[in-house]
Amino acid sequence: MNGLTTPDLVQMLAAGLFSIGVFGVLSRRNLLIVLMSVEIMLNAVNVSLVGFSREMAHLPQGAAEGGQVLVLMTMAVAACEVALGLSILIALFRHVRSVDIDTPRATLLRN
Amino acid sequence: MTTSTIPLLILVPFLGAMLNAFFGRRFGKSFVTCIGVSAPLIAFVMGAALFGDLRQRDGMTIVQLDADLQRQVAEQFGASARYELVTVHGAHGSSERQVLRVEEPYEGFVSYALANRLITEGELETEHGADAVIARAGDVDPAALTFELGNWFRVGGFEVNFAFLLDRISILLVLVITGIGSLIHIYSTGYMGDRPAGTFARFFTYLNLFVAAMLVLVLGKDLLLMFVGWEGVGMCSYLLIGFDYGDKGNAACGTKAFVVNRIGDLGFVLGMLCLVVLGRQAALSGVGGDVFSLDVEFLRTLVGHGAEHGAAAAHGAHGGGTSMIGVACLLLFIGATGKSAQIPLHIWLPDAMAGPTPVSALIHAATMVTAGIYMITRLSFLFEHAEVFGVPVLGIVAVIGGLTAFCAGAAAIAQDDIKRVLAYSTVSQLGYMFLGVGAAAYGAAVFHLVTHAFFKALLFLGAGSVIHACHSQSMSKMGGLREYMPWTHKTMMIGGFALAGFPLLSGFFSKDLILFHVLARSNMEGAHWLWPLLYGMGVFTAALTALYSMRLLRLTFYGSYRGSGHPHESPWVMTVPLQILALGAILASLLGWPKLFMWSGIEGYAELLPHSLHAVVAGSPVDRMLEEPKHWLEILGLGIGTLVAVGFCVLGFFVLWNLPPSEIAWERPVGWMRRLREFLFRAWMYDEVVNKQGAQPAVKQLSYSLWRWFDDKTLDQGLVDGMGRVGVELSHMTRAAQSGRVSSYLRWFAMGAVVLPLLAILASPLFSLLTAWFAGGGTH
Repeated sequence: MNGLTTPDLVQMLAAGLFSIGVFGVLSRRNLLIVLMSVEIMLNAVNVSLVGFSREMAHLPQGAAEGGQVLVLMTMAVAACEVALGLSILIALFRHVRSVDIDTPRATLLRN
Repeated sequence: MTTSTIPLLILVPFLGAMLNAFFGRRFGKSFVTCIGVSAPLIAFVMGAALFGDLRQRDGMTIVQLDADLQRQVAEQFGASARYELVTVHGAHGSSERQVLRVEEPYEGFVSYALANRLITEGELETEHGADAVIARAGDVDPAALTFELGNWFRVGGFEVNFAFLLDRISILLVLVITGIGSLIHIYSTGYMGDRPAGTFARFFTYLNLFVAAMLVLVLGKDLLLMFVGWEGVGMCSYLLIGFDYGDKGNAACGTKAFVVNRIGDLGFVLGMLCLVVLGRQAALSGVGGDVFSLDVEFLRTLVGHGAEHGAAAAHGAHGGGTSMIGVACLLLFIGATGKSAQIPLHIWLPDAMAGPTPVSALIHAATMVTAGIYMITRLSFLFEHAEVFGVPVLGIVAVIGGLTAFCAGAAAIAQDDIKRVLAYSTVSQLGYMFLGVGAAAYGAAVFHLVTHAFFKALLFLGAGSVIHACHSQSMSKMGGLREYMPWTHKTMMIGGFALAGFPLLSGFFSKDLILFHVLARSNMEGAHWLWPLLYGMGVFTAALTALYSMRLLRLTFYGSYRGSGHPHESPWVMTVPLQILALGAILASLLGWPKLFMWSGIEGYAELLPHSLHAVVAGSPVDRMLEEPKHWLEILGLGIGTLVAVGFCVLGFFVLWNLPPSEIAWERPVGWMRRLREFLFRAWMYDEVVNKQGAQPAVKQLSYSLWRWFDDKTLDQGLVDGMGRVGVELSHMTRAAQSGRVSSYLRWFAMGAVVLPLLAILASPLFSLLTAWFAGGGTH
C-alpha cells in the first residue's frame, strides 16, 4: 500500500461501499434488499463527506464543519426516506402479495 | 392647369362609379344618368385643359447658359424665364441639366442671344457649346407633366411610387378615352334606358370604373401602376361581358375573357420581374444609385446597361443574342397579345360580344384592347433593343400582327352576327396596329389607334342602334333598314367606308401609313424577306376589310327587311353620339394627312400626330431612312391602297347592292365555297382545335395531375398525414421504454449515470469550440 494516505483509504472505502450499493440495487429482486442497498449508497456518500471534511480541517471558514453538518442532514433525510420507502413497500405487498420487483403484477405501478 | 389635376382626372370617374354604386339604386335613373355621364365629361374637359397646357410648354425655348449669362437673360426676359431641371435626350445618352425655359419662340430668342453675344454662331451650330445649349423645346425635350402622389412601397432598393406621366402619347389616349367614352356614356343612357334602376346603376358604375382604370393604365408612370390599371380594365371587362349574368352563356363568355387575359397577364408579370432583376443588376453596378424601380424614366437608363449585357451574351453564345431586355419584352408582348386579342390569345374577343353593345364599343374596340399597343409604344426604347435568340422582338410583333390581321379579317367575312363581324374586324385592325408597331412605326400605329377608336366605336354604336331596333343580332334578320333608320344608316355608312379605307376618310390614311412603313421597310437595304410578305398580307387584308365592311352595310341597310316587327330609328341620345363620331371618323384624317397631299405653306401640318409622337418614342428606321423623302414610294403605297380600297368597295357594294342575299353565291354557298365559308365562320377552327382539343384537355390533364400528385399525394397524404404518422411511429418506438419494470428503469438510470457524465466530459472541448464559433459568428 505504497503512497496511500488515510484520506485516500477513506475515499476508497466510500467508493467500495457505493459500488456494493449499486450492485445491490441492480442485481437483487427483493424490494427490501434494494432499499437496504440504497441505504448503503447513502452511507457511502456520508463516509466520503466525512473523509473530505477531515481533509479540509486545516482550512479556515468552517469547511470541515460544513461536511459534518451535511452528513447529519443526510442521515435525517435518509431516515425519512426509509420510513416512506418501507410504508410504500408494505402497501405494495398488501396489494400484490409479493416484494419481488420483477413480479409481473408489480408493473401495475406503471400507470 | 397644374399638374395636380392629373390624379383628379382619375378620381372624377372613380367618384362617379362610387356614387352610382352606393346611391344609384336609391336615387333613380336620372341621378345615375347625371353622375354617370358627367364624370367622363368632366374628365374630358380637364384632359383638354391639360392638353392645352402641354401645347403651350412645347412652344418654349430651352437654354442652358453659365451663371453670368443666366443673369443677363433673366434681366431681359424677367417673368417669362424660369429654371427647371430637365432630362435632355441627346446623341450621347440622356442627362439631367439645369436649364432656362424662356417663353419666347426659338427664332426670336436666338436672334436676341446672338445680338447680345450671349452665344456665338459656333455654339449655335453645335448646340452643345461650352456655355450654351439652345434648342426648341419640342425637339429636345417634349413637354411632359409628371405628378408624384407619394411612395407606394419600398422593398430593399426596389421603389414604387404613385407617379403619373402626362406626355404626348398619354394625353392623346386620355382624350380618346374620355372623349369617346363620354359619347358612349351618353349613348348608353338610351341603349340601357329600358332596364330597371338597379341594373342601370350597376351598368354605369362599371362603365365609370372602367374609365378610371383605363386612365390609371394610361397615366401610370411606373409599370406596376400601369399594371394596376391593366388589371382594373380586365376586371371591368369581365364584369361587363357577363353583365346579363342571368344567361349562363354570357357569364361563361366573361369567364373565358378573364381566363385568357390572365394567361397574358402572367406574361406581363414575368416581364416586369425580368425588368426588376435587370434594374437590380444596374443599380448594383451603379447606373441609377442604389434605388431601382419600374419607372419609365428609370427603365430608359437600363437600355445601355442591358445592351452591354446582351452583347456579352451574344459573344458568349456565338451570336445567340438573347438579352434580358429581349426576354422581358417578349413576355410583355405576351401580355399585350392577351389584352389586345392577338394570336394566340385572340379567342376571347369574339365571345366578349356577349356584353351590351356600348361595352363592346368602349372596351372591346376603342380603348382597352389598344392597351397592348400603348404599352409597347410607351416602352419602345426597350423593344428597340430587344432580341431573343438573335430574332428582334419587334419582328415577332410584326409577324403576329400581320398574321392576326389577315386571319381575323378572313373570319369576319363569313360571320352572320353583326357584332361578331365587328369583333373579328377589331381583332384584324389591332393586328394592323401591331404590324405598325413591329415595323417601328409607332406614330402610325397610334394614329390608327385613334382613327380606329372613332370609326369602330361608331360602327359598334350603330350596330347597337340596329340591334335595338330589330331585337336581333343576326344580319339574316336585317336588311332594308336604310328607310327606317336614316341617321343610323348615314353614320354607319361613313364608319363602314372609313373602316374599308375608302380614300380621304380617316381609316384610309392611318392604315396606309402603317402599310407604307412596312413597304418602306421591305424596300430598305438588307431587309428581311418577311417584310414584303407582310406588306402583301396587309394589302390583301385591306381588300378583305373592304369586302366585309361592304357586306355588313349591304346586308343591314339594303335590300328588303327580313326580320319581324317594325324597326324604328333610335332616340336622339343614341343618334347624336353617332353623328359626332361620324364627324370624328372623317376629321380624324386631318391628324395624319400625308405630306404628298400638302401644298407649301402648311407642310408643317402633314402627318401631324405621327410626327409629334416621334419625339417621344424611339426613332423609326424608316424615318431615319426617309430623311430624304422617297416620293415614288409614297405614291406607290397610296396608289395601291386607293386601288384596293376603291376596287373592293365597288365590288363589295355597288355590284351586289340590289341583289337579295339569296342570289349571292357567298350567302347561299354550295360545294367548296360552303366548306370554306363554314371554315371561316368558325374562325379557322382555331377555337375548336387549339382551344377545345389542345389547350383545354392539356390544362384539364395538368390540373388533374397537379391535384392527384401534388395536392393529394404530396401535400395531403405526404405532408399533412405524414406529420401525424411521424408522431404515431415515434410513440410506437418509445412506448417500449415505459415497461413498468422497476429493475429495467434502474438499469437505464444507472447507465445514464455513467454515460451522461462521460459524454459531458468528452463533449466539453467540442462544446466550448462550438460556443466560441457561434459567439464569433454573432459579432460579424
